[in-house]
Amino acid sequence: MNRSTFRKIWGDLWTRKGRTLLVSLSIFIGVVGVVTLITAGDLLVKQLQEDIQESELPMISMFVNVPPSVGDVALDNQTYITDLKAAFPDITAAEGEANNPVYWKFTDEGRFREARLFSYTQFFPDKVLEPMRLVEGEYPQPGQAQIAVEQRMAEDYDFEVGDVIDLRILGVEGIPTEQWTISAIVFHAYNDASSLAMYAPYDDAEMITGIEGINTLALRLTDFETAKTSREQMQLYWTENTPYSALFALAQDPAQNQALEGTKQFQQILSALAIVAMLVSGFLVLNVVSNLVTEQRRQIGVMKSLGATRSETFVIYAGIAVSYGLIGMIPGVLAGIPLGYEMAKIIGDFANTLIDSFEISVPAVVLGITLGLAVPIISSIIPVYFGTRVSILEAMTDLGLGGNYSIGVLNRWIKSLPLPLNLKQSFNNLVQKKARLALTVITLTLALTAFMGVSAVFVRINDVLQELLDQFEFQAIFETTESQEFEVIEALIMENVAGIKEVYPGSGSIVQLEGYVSPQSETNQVMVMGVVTDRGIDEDTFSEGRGWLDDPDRKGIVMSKEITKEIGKTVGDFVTISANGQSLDLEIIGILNFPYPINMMNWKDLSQFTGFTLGAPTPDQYFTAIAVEDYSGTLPASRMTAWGIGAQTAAYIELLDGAPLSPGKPGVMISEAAASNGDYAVGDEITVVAGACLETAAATLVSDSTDDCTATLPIVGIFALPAQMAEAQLPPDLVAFFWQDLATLEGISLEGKPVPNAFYVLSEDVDPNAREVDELIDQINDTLVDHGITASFINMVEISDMASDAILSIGIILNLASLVMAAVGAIGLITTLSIAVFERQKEIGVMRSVGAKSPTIIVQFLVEGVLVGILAWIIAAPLSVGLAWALTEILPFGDFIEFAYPPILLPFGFIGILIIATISSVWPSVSAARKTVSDILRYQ
Amino acid sequence: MDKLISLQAVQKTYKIKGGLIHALRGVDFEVAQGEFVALVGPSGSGKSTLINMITGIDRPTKGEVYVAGQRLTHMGEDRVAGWRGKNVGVVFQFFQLLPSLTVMENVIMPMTYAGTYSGRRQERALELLDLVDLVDVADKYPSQVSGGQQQRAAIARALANDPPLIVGDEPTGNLDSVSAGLMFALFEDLVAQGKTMVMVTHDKDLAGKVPRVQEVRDGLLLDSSEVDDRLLVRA
Amino acid sequence: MTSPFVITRNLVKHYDTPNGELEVLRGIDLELRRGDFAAIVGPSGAGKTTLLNMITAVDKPTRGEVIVGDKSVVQTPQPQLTKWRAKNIGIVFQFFQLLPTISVVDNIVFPMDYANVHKPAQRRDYALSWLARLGIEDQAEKRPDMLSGGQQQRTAIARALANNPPLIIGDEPTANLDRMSTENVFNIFQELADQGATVVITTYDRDIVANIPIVYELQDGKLKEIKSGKRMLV
Repeated sequence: MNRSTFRKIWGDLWTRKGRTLLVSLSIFIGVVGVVTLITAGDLLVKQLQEDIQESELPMISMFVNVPPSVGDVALDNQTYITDLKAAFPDITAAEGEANNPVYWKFTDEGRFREARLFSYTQFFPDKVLEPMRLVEGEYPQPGQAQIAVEQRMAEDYDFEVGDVIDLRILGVEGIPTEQWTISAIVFHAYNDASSLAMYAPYDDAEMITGIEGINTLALRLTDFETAKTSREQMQLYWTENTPYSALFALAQDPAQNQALEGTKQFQQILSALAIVAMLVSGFLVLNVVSNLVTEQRRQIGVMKSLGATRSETFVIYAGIAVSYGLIGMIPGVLAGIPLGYEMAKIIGDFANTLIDSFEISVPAVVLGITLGLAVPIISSIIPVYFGTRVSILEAMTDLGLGGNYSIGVLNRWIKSLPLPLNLKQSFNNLVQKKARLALTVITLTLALTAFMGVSAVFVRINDVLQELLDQFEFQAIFETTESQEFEVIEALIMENVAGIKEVYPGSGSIVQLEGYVSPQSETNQVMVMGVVTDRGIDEDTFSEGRGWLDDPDRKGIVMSKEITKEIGKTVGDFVTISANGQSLDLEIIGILNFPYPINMMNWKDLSQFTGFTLGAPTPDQYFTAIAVEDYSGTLPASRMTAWGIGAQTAAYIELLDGAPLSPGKPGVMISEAAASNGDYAVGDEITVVAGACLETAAATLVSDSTDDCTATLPIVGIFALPAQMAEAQLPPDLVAFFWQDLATLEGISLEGKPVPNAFYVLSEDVDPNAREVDELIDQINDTLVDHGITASFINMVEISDMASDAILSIGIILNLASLVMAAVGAIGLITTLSIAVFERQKEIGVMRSVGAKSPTIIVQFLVEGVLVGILAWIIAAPLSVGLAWALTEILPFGDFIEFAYPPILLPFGFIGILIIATISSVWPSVSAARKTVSDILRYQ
Repeated sequence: MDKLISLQAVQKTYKIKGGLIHALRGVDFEVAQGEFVALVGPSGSGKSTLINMITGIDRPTKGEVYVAGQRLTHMGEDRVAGWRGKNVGVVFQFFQLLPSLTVMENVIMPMTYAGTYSGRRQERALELLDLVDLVDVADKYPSQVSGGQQQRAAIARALANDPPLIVGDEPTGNLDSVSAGLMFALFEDLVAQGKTMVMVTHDKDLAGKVPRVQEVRDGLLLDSSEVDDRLLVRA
Repeated sequence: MTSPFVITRNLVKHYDTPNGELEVLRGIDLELRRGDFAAIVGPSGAGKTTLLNMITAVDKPTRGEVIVGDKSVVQTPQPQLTKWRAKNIGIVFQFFQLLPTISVVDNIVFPMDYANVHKPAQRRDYALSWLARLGIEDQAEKRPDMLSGGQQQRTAIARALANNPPLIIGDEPTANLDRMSTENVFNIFQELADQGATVVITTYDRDIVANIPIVYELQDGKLKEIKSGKRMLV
């Protein structure tokens, strides 16, 4: 290398500034893409790895609750946990969490806001599983009106330690508002709801939320295999030995944390796209350098005649390529570093990660520098190698315009087409430089394929989501914290809140499905939705069977396609589901077209089955009014009090005479007072009237012993009134039954009345926006709270909006890479056409000399550009379908989505490429037309 | 005015980095219809610039240019191109046929631009090719025919719109002597039919056969009596 | 008598064209010695450029021998000729062939750099001195497209002379120059010939060869000596 080498390189770069800028720009774009995307992924993964420690993750997450049928019962979580650990010695840690809605506001505000209050069976710093980090202040102490706030929520609302806020205390009569102090700000990486997370000591939380008990039990065992195998037993144990019911349990291998895995996958996709973007700009460089050496054929020949060997010439052109690389790469890396950091922060919001301090991702920078230099060098090797091969003679023989024009089959074919001359010229010119045409087409095709493919996936995902959400015509869902009867709630709301068309009940549960293995959780747990069977389900929803369309009272279950395929059953077959230790056989009466593994049952059946009932009598606490024929005692109208007792009470009650009730044998026991008032002795029979019969009977008895609610039963024993009951000063006339018998007699279900665990709200407004739905929710909440009922709400419209936004945002981010490629493709086209203009200047001059005006020349180049674009689209269209299919396979949530290519993308891509081609062709065409003939022909 | 070409006090100055180039320094030039003129002079003398004034490819810095009844002096590029297509047939030294069109398509091209002979362009093109004895290669691409044939095709193209004026810039420069002779005979024929021909040439023998020779030197026209023999070459 | 510096023996060159075989050179025998200043005249297309291309080893003959100095140019493979040619033959091309993206003076330094001739620090000054001799030193920093045809041609001549080659080849080297410049250039050539270089030029312009000692005519593929002129007789 000598001074002349540098001068030549510099001279070429400087003289054709436009081309230098264009090529460097494409490398810049590629490098920015690489550095940004890889930095984002890298920083995210690193942050997650810092925040999420494998040893702190639970292996089993058990979702528990206290079924409403259990009623009021004191909970002793510590004991239950200790017992569980004793029963399963492999458990190394067990911690309970309560996560319930809390209503707070700033003191000077009018309206309360909803957040989530978290409390734990362990005191905060003692948590071993999913612990938090104290950022500022001191953990809140019990009974001190202190709470802690998660860092992200603190940032959103500008909280500081020492701030005082108002809390609604739902667990105290009258629901007072109290002022509580923020004693700490914590960072809780494991909390998905961090931006709405408050923390309080366990007992304080129960008081604030008005809800007792935990809702999640996090368990860790000696190893994951043990955890997996013990899961069901632990679930069963918990259900049977505590008042809780373990609804379902998820086993998650800490070594394969979902969030981390998901982010890593995302990072890999980003990196792949970034690198592809870089490769596309490599094509551009290839194109340009190839044109460069062709253009400079003569110069290469001259330089050879002046003593430059072939390798010295090679160095010159490789040097130009390297310079393009440097000019593009250095600003590219510098711009990519902060951009990548910003992108990491943005994605971090979605991934619930906090990327705090600015960091440079070394692998991203290294890769950016390497690719920024390597791509131009590698892209230029082949064209420069061949270009510098030209002999001096070849290089310098000027054969006028058409010297190097080769005529092939294509040209002969074009000759015969009935096209205007202009178009024939365009076609022939395109066909002439096949290599260059191929490269430009490839660049554009790659860009277009990536763009259409990625867009296809995200448009499809969004469509699926909307389809799913459209299935549900309701705009809001709420769950009351304590189970309520549907009619009560419905009446309340319809009377007091305007704008509501309908409220209807529903339930949802996780049950076990025999014979099924879920591909996601590897368990047999499935989700069942309890629906109102005479509404809201389209015929189209079913791919087989007709569900409840013909008979809303039909018994059975409707399952999703995915699940029925997995278990190999169809309409008419039976399946067995179990929950809470109970099993149920159901006929499959329909198969759903949903892309989601969900099943449906009549909500009442489901609530009944999962124990969501109210009013089921509790043994020993079951008192009801009955009438006994011919009896007159303390109460008027032959009334006595019937007492439904459990087996234990029946066995151990203090007897004055006779024997205790024995299961299976009809009979009653009466109290001492009853015996004396009615003059009864053991062995006598009494006729008892209860339940509905009580109403129909007049003040005096008219019994119809064929009724179910009347029975004639022998007295098997006389008992002494238990101490508490005597103290309570109840009327002492009691008849004791087995509680099940009493319930049957009364005609109430042993299980009680099914209650919904969710209420669906349909607004009068057919298409309200999220804010309008929020207002409705506020009104409903006010109404309920005024009646002492608390609930938590989901704004479906808001969720659907947020989900759409999230999906589209991710789609946009992924599309950034393809936008990069599209930009590079456009630059490629501009460059190719500019070079063509430059090469064909003489031609343009000749055309003008024989009378061609500017529009003719512009049109010719425009047509060439557009033809290239169309060709790229023709190839890209099928390729993008393939890419979309591949992406759908790879992406994590792709499992739920049946692959479909939104047809709208084809014309969209076509128009897009036309626009790009037109814009890219305009500048070179106009500059071609603008050259005056004298400029061109001056030094002929 | 009865002159086909009239240049009055035409000056052309180019501005380049570092100064001005005075290509034409005040030229008065007239050519009547039916004349056959040869322009001679060394490179840089301004004869190419002069030719460019006549064809409208370039415009004067000062002075007036009238050709075929049209004042070219301040015309826009597009209008000049359109005018030129109908009024001037240009024959270049290096033929300059468009390689992406066949010989016949090249001849049709000026008709397309000027919008003439609509409906019978092919017919006319074949007539012209017949005139220059090229009918059997009409369907071939320029790279498939010889230099002499290309030049003849270029002449046929120049005649496409039946222009009154034909301008040639070293039209025989790249031909062997036999072809050159044939070409010249064709030019004489065209002049005899009433066309006006202005030709730039180095070839002394050729210039000798042309009725009127005009020397250009240093941006000025010389009196015909001062024609410098050294500028011409014996063939 | 010194031995010939440039020799061609029965040089034949054919081309294949669409219209059949074209015989451009039909057996050329040429001998030139150091210090000879020769011109080859003939009409355009006669084959003058082809003949020069044989001597400069830019092209290969169909048959025959070409010897320059002690090198058989025909038998030496191309890659080996590159540096040798740069040091030994200065070529003025018919269409100048200046490198358009570097300045005039850099164009002249280029062959010096690649042939590694003269001390690097002195190359630029040497280039400027040639420009001065040709009367275009004020164009030194301009790029070639800013110069007139004549100025470009003089730049090309300066470049050919930059390496002080023993053989100087010029293809129509004065076609774009006015009379004064032409005379100047020929004086330079003669000076160089007097100093021992061999100079061969071609031209279509018979009248300018009046002062050139040796003149050949190339017609119909054959070379005819018209003027035998001054030859070095030692």
